[in-house]
Amino acid sequence: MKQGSIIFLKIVIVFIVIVALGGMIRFPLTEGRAVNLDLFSIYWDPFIVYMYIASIPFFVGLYQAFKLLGYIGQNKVFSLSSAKALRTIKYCAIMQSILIVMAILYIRTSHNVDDDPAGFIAIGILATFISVVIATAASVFERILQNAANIKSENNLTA
Amino acid sequence: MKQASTFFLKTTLFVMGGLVLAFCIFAIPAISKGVGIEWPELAGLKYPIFIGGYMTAIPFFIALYQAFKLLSYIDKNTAFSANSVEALKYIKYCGIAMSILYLAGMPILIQIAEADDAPGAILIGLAFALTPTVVAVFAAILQKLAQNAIDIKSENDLVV
Repeated sequence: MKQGSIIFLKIVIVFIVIVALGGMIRFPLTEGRAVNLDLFSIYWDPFIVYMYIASIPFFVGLYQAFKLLGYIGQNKVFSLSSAKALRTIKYCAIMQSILIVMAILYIRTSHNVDDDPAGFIAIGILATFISVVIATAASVFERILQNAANIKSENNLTA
Repeated sequence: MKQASTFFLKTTLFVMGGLVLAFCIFAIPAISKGVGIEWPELAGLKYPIFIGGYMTAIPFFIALYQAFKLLSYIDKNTAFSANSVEALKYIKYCGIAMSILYLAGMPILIQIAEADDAPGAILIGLAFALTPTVVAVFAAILQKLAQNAIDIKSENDLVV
């Protein structure tokens, strides 16, 4: 039961990675400005490059979550390594929210006068909020794990 | 720091609850009324949407309440207790119930998507239906872990 559920969550993470990567690679091609451009110029747009760079913490965070699931599967969840994975997730989520806010500010200040960036900004604010929630939840989990690891080491000492 | 982070998460739960409550009060009646006006041939879906919409809200609010309780236990340093295992168990059941209800509602969505010629709606519906399952599986793992920690702790107490 436990192994099955861990494998399920791992599959979900891999699925999220595939969907996100697929979307990120495909999206620039569907933009209106891509019609008359060669492949290099399509992707060599400052904002698209920024998007790829800004997605790094997202994927690092997912990788850490994947590792964390591995620790759970090996019954090593109450350990320093899983606390470290959670800490990395926390930092990634904080960084991600900052990067999204920067993207929002860029779009807000430099969008075309004919464009209405309201939709982008709304989604950006939502994504920022979700990142902050993930960072907070990760820090709460980290502390709980730390507690449990301490109890366990105490246990080993007395035994 | 500690109180602040759980307080923030509790606030988030309230925001989520408020949004869904607003959805229940304003959006569900409007959708169930609008379906019959937009596509007269689908007027029969009026009541299934109405009832189904409110039925899925019930496990959602129960799960939210249990998550709130869980955060309170964390606040009181009793994260590894029978109470939190119980709360996680309820969250698991609520997640499963929501997924089943959403999947049961898929035929409604498929009919609307066909009438509106918007196949993307089916995909979004499936994503909505599977998200509670992910939450349920996650809650199940946390439940196991909390149980583990309780066992370790009680062992500890025995030795001491």
